Amino acid sequence: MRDFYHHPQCVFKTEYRVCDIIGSRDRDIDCKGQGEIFGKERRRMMQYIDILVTFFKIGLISFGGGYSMLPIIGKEVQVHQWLSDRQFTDVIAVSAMSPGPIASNSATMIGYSLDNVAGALLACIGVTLPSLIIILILGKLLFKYQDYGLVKAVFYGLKPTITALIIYAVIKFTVANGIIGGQNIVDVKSVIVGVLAFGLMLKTKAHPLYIILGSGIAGLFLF
Amino acid sequence: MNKINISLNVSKIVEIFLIFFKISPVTFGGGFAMIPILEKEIVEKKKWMDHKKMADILAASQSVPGAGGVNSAIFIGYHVNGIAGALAAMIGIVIPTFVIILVLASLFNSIQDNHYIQATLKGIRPVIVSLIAVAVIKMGKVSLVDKMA
Repeated sequence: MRDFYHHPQCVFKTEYRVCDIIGSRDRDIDCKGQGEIFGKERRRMMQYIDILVTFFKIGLISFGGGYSMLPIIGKEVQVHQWLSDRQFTDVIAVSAMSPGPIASNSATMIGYSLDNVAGALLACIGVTLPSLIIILILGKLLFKYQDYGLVKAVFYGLKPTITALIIYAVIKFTVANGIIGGQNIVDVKSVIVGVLAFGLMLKTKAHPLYIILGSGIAGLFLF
Repeated sequence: MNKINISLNVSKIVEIFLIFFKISPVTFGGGFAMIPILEKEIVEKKKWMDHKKMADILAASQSVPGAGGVNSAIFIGYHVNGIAGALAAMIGIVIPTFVIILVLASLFNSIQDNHYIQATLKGIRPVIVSLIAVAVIKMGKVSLVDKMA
């Protein structure tokens, strides 16, 4: 320890810390040069950790999922100066048009733009991990106490609320995609496809997956 | 005896993984659209739980932070086969969309204005609305239980 205080290039306290780690093995190492290489790797490592931690935080505080997570993600992107506004809009567009939760989709895309596949993986893991932890804890408690009056009461109140939330999602998705209230007020073709699919799903035993596939093909001819 | 149990377990975990792997690429519009598909696969085909339990789990999944679709996958996996089931469901539902997003992100500029892709998506969107509407009916049946006076 003693000698590092007197190392010629370790005058400043911040530099001393780097020398402390590297120099402790070989006192004659060019402290400054090593420090820079070390710093580059460290910066990269720090960004990895930053991505993981930020998206973990987003996953943890984002109640409601879906679109309600976007403002939170937008804020973090702005604070970290990860993307421009235009880029962020593009990210939302792609996340919304592809399958999967918008939150993890946009997390994956932001991560990808920061550090390719590694960034995408970290962001995706970060945003999903809180769900896993919370549900493992909650699930254990829930199954243990599911016959208690209080737990039953919670679900009694919760389920109608979620039903209302899904109704809201129907309306929002309809308007957001211009099926009703878009350029033509009512997009007749879309409404017909939607009503047909609705009837098919309710009245027949057809698997929804095939109906989705079929609608995609129908879209190719209709639009 | 033990061996049989383990292999049964493994095949169940694989089944969970495959169900969510299959559902994942068509979960447009977030978690709600996959509810009817989940009902079909897990309640009607596999009979791993009844409609009421499913509604409980979906309600709980929407009430905790995170994406509803991923949450319900983890929860259902956990209910069917403990922590291993939860992990299998989570990985199953995340991997396909992760891969799709990576591909889309790298092709973004060329697909943004592609007529055929836009037309296909335009055809799919109303069906997503119908799927969510079907979810309302399924959820309503088990949650709006009181008769009106």
